[in-house]
Amino acid sequence: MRHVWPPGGPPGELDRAALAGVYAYPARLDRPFVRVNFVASADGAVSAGGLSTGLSAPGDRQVFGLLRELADVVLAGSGTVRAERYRGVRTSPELRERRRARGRTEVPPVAVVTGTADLEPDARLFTDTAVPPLLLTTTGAAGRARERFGDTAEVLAVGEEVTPGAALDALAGRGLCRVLCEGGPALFGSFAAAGLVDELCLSVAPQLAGAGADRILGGPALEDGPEPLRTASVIAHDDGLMLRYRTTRGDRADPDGADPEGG
Amino acid sequence: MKILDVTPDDRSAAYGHAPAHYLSPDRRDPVKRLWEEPVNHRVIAAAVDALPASSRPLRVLDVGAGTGDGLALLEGGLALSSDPGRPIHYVGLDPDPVMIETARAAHADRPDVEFVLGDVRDDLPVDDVDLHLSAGVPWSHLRHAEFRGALTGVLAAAARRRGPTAVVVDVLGRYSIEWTTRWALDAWDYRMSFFHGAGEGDDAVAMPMSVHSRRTVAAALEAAAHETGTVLRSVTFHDRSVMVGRHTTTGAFTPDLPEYRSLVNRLHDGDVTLDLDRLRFTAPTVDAPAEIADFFATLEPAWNARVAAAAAHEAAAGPAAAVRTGLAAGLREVEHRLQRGLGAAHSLIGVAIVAPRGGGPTDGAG
Repeated sequence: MRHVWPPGGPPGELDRAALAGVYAYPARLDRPFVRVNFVASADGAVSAGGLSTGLSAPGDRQVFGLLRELADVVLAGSGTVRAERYRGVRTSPELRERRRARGRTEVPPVAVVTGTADLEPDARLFTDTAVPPLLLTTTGAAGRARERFGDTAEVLAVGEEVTPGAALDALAGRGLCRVLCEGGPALFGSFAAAGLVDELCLSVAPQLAGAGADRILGGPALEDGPEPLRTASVIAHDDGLMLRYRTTRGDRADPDGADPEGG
Repeated sequence: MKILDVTPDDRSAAYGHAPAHYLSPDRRDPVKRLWEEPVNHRVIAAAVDALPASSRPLRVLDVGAGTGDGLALLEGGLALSSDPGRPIHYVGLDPDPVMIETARAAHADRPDVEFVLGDVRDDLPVDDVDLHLSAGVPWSHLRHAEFRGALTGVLAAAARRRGPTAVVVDVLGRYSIEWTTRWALDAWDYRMSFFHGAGEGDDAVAMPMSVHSRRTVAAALEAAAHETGTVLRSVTFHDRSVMVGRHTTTGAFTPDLPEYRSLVNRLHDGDVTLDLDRLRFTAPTVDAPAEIADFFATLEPAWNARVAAAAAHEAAAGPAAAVRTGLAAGLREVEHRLQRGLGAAHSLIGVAIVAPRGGGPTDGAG
């Protein structure tokens, strides 16, 4: 894995610490910082065979794991959680220790944006996890969700409807500011339309997926037209490219650069 | 040290208004549902999971059962356990006839549930018990010497079984922020607003209660194990309601303490009018064992950091109900993650897995 862009990055083969430095969240955050992570094929498809796991760039799994290691919370839409049979973030004694050393909780929870909270209580998300997932839902659905999921989920009523802003408010209040959004396209689209995306981490899989697949962003059009991005870093591994883009909002959140602790 | 002498008759007379209190829907505020009951559920699930798997009903004796709150907690705990569908046979034991009568009426439709009038200091009404349960600090009604004696009786029952027994001991925590003014005492007069004679106002009557630290419960368990020839396979402790005990709000013992429980309930309800600064916490400076002082010195900055982060976010974006409910959940996460089971909370729950000496881990339970 090599650092390609910007010039002057760490030389040679990147070890985990150097890679963690590249992907560090901003050093000081007084609001949630939303990093979105997707894999897309070279022809712009978000999936192959219906699942994002059908696409893979060399090195991409390593970055995927690192981004989770650096995050306070992994955010996903209910459709993605169902389709990809989400379970809790994998952990190990070494991972727990590295997170402790950064001053983080040992395991980041998965937070699901779900207006209805009608997930299956016996889904792996609830049964195969080190920490209960968060359900970001409406005030109307929260009561029934608490009865349905009991102690196996943390139900947060974020408002009359679950808007991206209200979801981030709840996460901020909960102390979860380093947000890693793993999709799907509709959730990414709603955050982008609300102007609340700070960073896009895009792994380009060296594949042609062919026609028929969706793109990484769905949902409503961007009212203010195309959003400009700055290329913050490029990592290459064999044929795979790991691109990191900042929005204007993301650059504003990061005047001092990345957290030197690798946070 | 103050010596307590409560007879069962005193106790039963004192709880005259209790059934109405325990059955009131208002009693299950967000703190109770979201901060307190989940602790009992996790404790019970772990206790049940430490017993051998079995298809026969789980036999439970709930000591100081009152109107049967422990049954709901037991069912919540079983739902989290590895065998959520396991049938139960539940016996609630309480020395108060009014409580027993109320409990029986409330559970008349449950053939697997019975309530028995009796006292844990006497012979136990059932012998072959898988799980000795308690909830709502019933063991604190006993003087320290009585506590050790009654615990020996429970472990003696465990000694007569072939397999392991789980014992859950629920007591008042000696070092709760609710009563820093009583930290030097191991027993004192506790106020309960629903005691007989309590009016609408704040003229709550008091009754003597014993308070415990991890050390006193652990020592009592070890002594009881020694005396009964049992082995403590594991002993774990949990502090329940460190920051949000009900007397943070009544101010009965420490009037200057912020009313954290009602403040946190307002956060859960998304109340944007609440001044977040009121939630800030200063660790007690009262003399305490080193592990208690160390715990509060760890909790203070972690708690305050959550409050400060939410306040900073609102300073930029404006107050929002979602931030408040998120902060409530965040403060709960801090308390649950940092608690060490020291007796530094409203209640201290000890869980012992007790086996007869020489009993193998694969033996059937009974």
